[in-house]
Amino acid sequence: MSAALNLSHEPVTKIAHGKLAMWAFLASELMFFTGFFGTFIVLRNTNYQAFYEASHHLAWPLALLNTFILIGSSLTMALSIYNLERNNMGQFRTFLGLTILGGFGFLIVKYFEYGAKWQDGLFPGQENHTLFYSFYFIMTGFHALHVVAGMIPMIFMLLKSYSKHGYPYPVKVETLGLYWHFVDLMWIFIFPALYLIFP
Amino acid sequence: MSHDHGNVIPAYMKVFYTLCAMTLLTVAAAKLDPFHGLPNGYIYNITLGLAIAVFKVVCVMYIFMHLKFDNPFLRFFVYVPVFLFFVLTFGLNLEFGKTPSNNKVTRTVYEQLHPGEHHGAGHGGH
Repeated sequence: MSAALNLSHEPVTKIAHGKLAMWAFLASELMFFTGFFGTFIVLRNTNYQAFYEASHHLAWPLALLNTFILIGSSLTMALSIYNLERNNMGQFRTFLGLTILGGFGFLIVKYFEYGAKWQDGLFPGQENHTLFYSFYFIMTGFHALHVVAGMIPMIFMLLKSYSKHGYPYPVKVETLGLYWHFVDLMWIFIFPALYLIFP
Repeated sequence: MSHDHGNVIPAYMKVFYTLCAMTLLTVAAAKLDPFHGLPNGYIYNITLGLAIAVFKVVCVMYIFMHLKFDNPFLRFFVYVPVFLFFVLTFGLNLEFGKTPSNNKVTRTVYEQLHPGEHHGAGHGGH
């Protein structure tokens, strides 16, 4: 690679600036979710019965399906970066496309899940289970927003990869990949915390 | 600058299968409730679920997010906020919320929901 491109890396650690910034951003994102988890645990333990009853209206099989979709899209994201670094533009497109499809799949499942909750009157401001479903919608809603936010640059990258020279910035995809894996990480905690912790 | 870590695909696949298996294990652990009947069994159950989640997170961060291959400096960006995550979530919990076993109100409620902690009694979905 050219010397000019190396200016985009931190000189001592040789880490791309964008990647370093993404890690710092993810650290702040983790703190953002920490607020939700911290208050959730405290309020769960002080309103155990209400949370216990409310949680049994959740469709954990749908959440399990979404977990597999996210794990799969994390794998395809990692594979798309691997292929772009080796200049396999075709495979890069395939795996990035699959990652985007995974994101869409996740949102479609979420749509049905939210729709069912809405029909049953299980949302904040209603008579029943308001506290639990405030957490449910805030935590899964922000998580779903993160999925949408990750898919937008992915779609741009995929479209650009069809231009004459393909997509020439592996580091950018790698940086976005970090974000996408983080979204998966948060789901790894949200899934048991909301759907499974009340046996 | 390209980050060539050799052929990492076998490692990726291993992580993928591990994550799938661990997800099923989390669900099985929560639904079968293997510690049911033991005193404070639900605490073991939550601990098991949390341990599985932490294991999954480590797999994703070290392999998918390349912490294993990248400059060790990056790990500071992970260790510090992860430490704070646990301190702020569970630290708060120890002081104010308390687990059902230590908190009189929640313990009473829990015992009503799980009378006598018999195997299977008062247990399962509504």
